[in-house]
Amino acid sequence: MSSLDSRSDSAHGVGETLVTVSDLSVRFARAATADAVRGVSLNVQAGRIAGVAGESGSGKTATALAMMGLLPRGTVVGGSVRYRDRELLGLREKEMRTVRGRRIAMVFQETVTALNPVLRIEEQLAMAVRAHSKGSRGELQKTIRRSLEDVQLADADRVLSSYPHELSGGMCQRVMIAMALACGSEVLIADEPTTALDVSVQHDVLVVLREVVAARHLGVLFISHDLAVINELCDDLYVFYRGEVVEHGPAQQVIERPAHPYTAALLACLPRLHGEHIRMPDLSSADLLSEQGSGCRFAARCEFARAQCQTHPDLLELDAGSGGRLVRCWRAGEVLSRAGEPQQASTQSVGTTPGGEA
Amino acid sequence: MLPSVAPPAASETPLPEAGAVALASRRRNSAPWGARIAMTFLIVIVVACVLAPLLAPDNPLSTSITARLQGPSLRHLLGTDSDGRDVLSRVLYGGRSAFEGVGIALLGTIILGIPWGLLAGLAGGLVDEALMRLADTVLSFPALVLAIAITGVLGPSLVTAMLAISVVFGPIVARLLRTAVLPLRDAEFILVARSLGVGRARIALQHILPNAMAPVLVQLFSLASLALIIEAALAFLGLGVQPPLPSWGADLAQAYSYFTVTPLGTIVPGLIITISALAISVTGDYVRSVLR
Amino acid sequence: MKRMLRRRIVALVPTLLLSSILVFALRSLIPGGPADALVGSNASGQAIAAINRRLGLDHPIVVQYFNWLGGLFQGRFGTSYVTGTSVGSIISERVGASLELVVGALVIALIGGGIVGIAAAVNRHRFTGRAVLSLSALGLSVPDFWVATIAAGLFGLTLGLVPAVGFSPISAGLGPNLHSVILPVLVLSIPTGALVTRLVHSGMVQALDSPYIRTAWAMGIQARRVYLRCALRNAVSGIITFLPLALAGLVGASVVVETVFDIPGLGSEIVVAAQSRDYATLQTIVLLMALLVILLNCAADVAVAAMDPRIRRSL
Repeated sequence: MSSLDSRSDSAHGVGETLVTVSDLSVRFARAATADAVRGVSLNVQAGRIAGVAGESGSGKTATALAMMGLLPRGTVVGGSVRYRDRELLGLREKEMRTVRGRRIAMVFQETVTALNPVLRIEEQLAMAVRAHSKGSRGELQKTIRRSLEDVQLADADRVLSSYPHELSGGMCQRVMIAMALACGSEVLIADEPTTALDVSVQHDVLVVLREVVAARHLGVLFISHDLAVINELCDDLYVFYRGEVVEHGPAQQVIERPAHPYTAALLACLPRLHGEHIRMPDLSSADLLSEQGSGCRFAARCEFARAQCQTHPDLLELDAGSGGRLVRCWRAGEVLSRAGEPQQASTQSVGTTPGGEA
Repeated sequence: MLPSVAPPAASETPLPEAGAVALASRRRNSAPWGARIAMTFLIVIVVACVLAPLLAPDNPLSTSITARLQGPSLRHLLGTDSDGRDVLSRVLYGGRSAFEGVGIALLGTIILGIPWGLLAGLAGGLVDEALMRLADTVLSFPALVLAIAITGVLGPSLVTAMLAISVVFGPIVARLLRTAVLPLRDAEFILVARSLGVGRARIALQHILPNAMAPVLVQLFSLASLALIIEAALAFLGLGVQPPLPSWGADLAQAYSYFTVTPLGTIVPGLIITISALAISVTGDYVRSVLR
Repeated sequence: MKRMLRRRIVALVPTLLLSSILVFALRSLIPGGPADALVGSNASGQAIAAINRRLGLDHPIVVQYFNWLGGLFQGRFGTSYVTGTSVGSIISERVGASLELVVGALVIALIGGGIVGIAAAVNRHRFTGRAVLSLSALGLSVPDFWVATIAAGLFGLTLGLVPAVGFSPISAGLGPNLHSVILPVLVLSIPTGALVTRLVHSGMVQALDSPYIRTAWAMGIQARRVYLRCALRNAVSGIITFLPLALAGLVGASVVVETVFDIPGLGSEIVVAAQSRDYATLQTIVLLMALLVILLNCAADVAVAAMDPRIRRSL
């Protein structure tokens, strides 16, 4: 745990905003009615790790794919995604390819299968780097080896000459991160990168992420359904529910004292060693329909719901002293005060929540 | 003469590429229009050919020196061939022997292939190994070549041609059945049956076989389609149905010599063979999608 | 790797022997015996006995088999009962034409089918991709004797662009040879080409829908590279496994094409041999064809294993 402590205090991160997502909306071609993502805004800053938490179907992955321009054709995307001062939405595929890998890279949940089984690691890394720069062979080798060092894969020769199936899941994931670094990315979007790994291996990857962020001032968007991991790793946190951001703020604060009923419920659901195991109420089909309506999308499952919740809440700032926290709930204050109670307190000894992709 | 290879199902969420369109249309409960056309056509043509004695305007064997190589007319809807015989009647009766032949071939394939595969799958070990070796060896002979060799040896006729086809197709069915039977051997419901004292033969026939038949059934359609074509090919080469008996393949060969005079005689039998074979194999694709 | 090679070759032997037995066993199916075919069933018992002695048919069948097999190894392929010429010379005269047809068709099918298959896979969500796939299904179901006759009739007889029949060997000039061979080779390549298209398409689609291709896109690798270096490499092994099957189909189809275009090859020979009950020729050529397919099968298995590092490393 100690290696992860040097986070929000460090002055390494420049804090410069690299990616700004404003009012993003995504609607898939086949889903005529519901938006997968609605009015989402977030920032990725250099040297900081922003977490994105939520269940499957909350729009986390759709947001990430929209940022990368990897959504299938026919998907309707609205809003804006700006990398530095460049608008990414609406770029032609050819132009987008100069951004992917070179500026913004993405790693996914799959580990070994995310690498080509018939090519050696060296070839795959080289292919990625060559797609963006035309250096000499010597420079290529240097870049590749340096990035392998950065992800703490010490035995570079062995790794480079191996095939993916000869490496472990954790090593493959680190190779993917190395690939992003070697291409020169400043921003890394990680979609559930450790979900498929054993807990012990997870830790290695998380350590690597943290170090890489510190050393290269990378900006990371870390998507996960696992609040425990987010608590360990992230500086900021965006909580997603059914396509919207419902809460945002410094990660540890949000987790310790959630201001949105959904966040509170998520945390309450985490299995723990002592105390009762609480389940979030299941959704009935009637509830699902009502979530399509114009009011708050969480109302059907929310214990705090009142008449006013039929009006869709905006993302509002919590009181001034809350350190830049935003909540999408009319009754955030009450949720906060309830959060002070012992029920929500123990987030330290937690395991992983089962779940999948968004 | 090649077995058809079906493309894999389209992925549900295609990964993005330049110009990728996410369009995977789903089939509803009724058959897609292609399958419906195929099945209707198949039924129509099989019935028509079986009823040839009732439907055919002329005796397919009656020749006429004066009425040779005529084009389509009211008297002869598809014209006449080089011996003055009515083409339509020849097509109908030829279809009769074609489908009859396919039936014989399928029967022979089943009789040969099913016990072969069942035995190999259930016995296991050396027996399985030996039987499958034999199957592989037969399968290394190109289908048409083996069929030619067998009809050459036995003398050409519809029956010998169909027998030859059964020999070629039997191993295919045997392999398929064996592959389907293997995982069933240790299936739970089989263990239950055995623990209840049900005899092994009974288990094989009443429990294992019905559960393993699905892929075999699907394959039988493509084999039927192929059988039709191979039978026609053998007849074309003079090694199947012997003239003057009506046969699509043999008639095509005969008409070909007069191609420059009237290409119709070459086009019509070939067209009918192609469409019939396609109809059978499209129906088979539909059956496969239903059985999934 | 070497060990695997040796194992495969050793495993070949029983298959080869078995196929020779099968071919030889066909003989026993002949109603009346080979002598029957030569002199007819009305001939006197004496005449038949004489022929049996001459052809060595009075020995028990097992002995006959070993005699025949031994002869094969020594290059004695027997004599045609019907024409009296040695089977060996028949084969050597005709193998050239068949080889040219089959190899030519294979090359065209692989290259043409491959390109079309890749294009169909890349465009698989668009209309053109799906149309091409349906066309290839058609290409597989059309009987080759029909395509051959229509093509020969249209381009040869009616339009006179190429000779509808006949074959001009390379020794008589490359130009006339190609001229006489182009249409039959094209016709022969159609069913195999359609098969290659479907195989390449399905292999590529399977690769294109895998996570590692998504990684390639996500890292900004150019389209052409992704298709050719990443996806196609993975699809190739699936194609190689089918090659022997394709070749078997080609050999079978060449019988028809050679007959229609009257090309003096091995295919047209077995038709004639079957028609005239010339068993000696028939069985030797048929065995030859089977041997070719068996050997190619083995070669394809080895090639697939060599190309997939997962299998190679585990040996």
